[in-house]
Amino acid sequence: MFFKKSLFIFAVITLLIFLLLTYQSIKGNWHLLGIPSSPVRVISHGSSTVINKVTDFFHAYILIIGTGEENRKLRERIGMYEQEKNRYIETENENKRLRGLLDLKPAGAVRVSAAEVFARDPANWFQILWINKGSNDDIKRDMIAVTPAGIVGMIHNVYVNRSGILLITDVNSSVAVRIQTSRVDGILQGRGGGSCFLKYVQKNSDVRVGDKVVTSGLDGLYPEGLLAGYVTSVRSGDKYLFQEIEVEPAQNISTVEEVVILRR
Amino acid sequence: MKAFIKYLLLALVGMSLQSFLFRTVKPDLIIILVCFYTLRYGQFRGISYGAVTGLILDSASGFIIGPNILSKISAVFFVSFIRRKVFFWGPVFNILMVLAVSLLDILIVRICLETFTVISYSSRVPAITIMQVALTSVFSLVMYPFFNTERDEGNIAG
Repeated sequence: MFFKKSLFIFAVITLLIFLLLTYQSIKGNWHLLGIPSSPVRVISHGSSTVINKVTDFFHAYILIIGTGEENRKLRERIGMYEQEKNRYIETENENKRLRGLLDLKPAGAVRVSAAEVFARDPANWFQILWINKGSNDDIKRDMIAVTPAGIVGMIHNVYVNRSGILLITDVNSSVAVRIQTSRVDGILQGRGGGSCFLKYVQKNSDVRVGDKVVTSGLDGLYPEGLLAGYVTSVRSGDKYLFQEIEVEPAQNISTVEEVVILRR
Repeated sequence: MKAFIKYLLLALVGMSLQSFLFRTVKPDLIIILVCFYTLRYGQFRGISYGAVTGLILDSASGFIIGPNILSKISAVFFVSFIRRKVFFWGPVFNILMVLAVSLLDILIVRICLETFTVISYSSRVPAITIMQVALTSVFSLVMYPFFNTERDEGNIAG
């Protein structure tokens, strides 16, 4: 009896969710979609700050450990100076990054805004970064996010004060690219991990490990000539029509802190 | 209600850890919490917990609401069904159950996303799924002593 009741409830819930999914697939997703996840973003933002503080603390601790007990006071002072030095290094690094972002003016693209990354997607299904700029700052869907090191991804979701960037390493991301030296065109597609595939490159094309991969601009979204990554492996089997090329993004996706948003 | 809020806060912390500590392959800490909550508080309370955590996960990605709600609720039904059939519940069986539930979760989310959106996971590397399930199983073992549902026998699902 209990099993039958459970089965009935499960069937009803499944049906309701399928109706909800069908509605969204026809009408598009809801604008209020982001509200339930707000606590996650707030906690993520807070926890990243805490993690950074803890890391700084251990870093400072490791730096001062190992000196003699009799120099405890001296070590405390060294620790304080080290912390201060770390703060200066952090500020200097931030300055360098921000200066790099300011200097970033790729040809064929209009700079829209600079933004800070404040959260990442918690699940494995999408590789998304959330930035602190939205429609209030003229951010629109399909604009692209770059850093001085290379391309990061494309804006896929825009809210008033925040936007989601679909990273180039996401399986749903495709970028028209070419090999800088041989001018061979291809499509850069994410693998879901930390790297990408370069697809549709014929077997007779000249591609070598270490080649630079740049955007070709043929997709109408990314401006031409932006660095996307480097070829890390090339394979071509007899049964395949195209080469199997792995590309490491030029910008390490897991260390992105600030981005510049561009539009064509 | 107190337990629900406590587990919900744990889920929020779990999601934050997933997004900050793990960059490429992430364990599914939420499915582990859903399993433990269902084992401790039963199927009906488990449904509401699964639905809320699923809703938060869906909205965090900003794509479509439903896949994670359905997968988490399915996990609740699966766990409570298995719990009624199994007399002894130990850590090894717990790992096996989490492993099965993770695979079920991945299957349901993937089917929903590929059916109701234009998203395709054909180019997704299988190693990511394998690593995710393995990591989730390891974390379930780590979390087992803290959430051991066999400690207070009066509260197990039935």
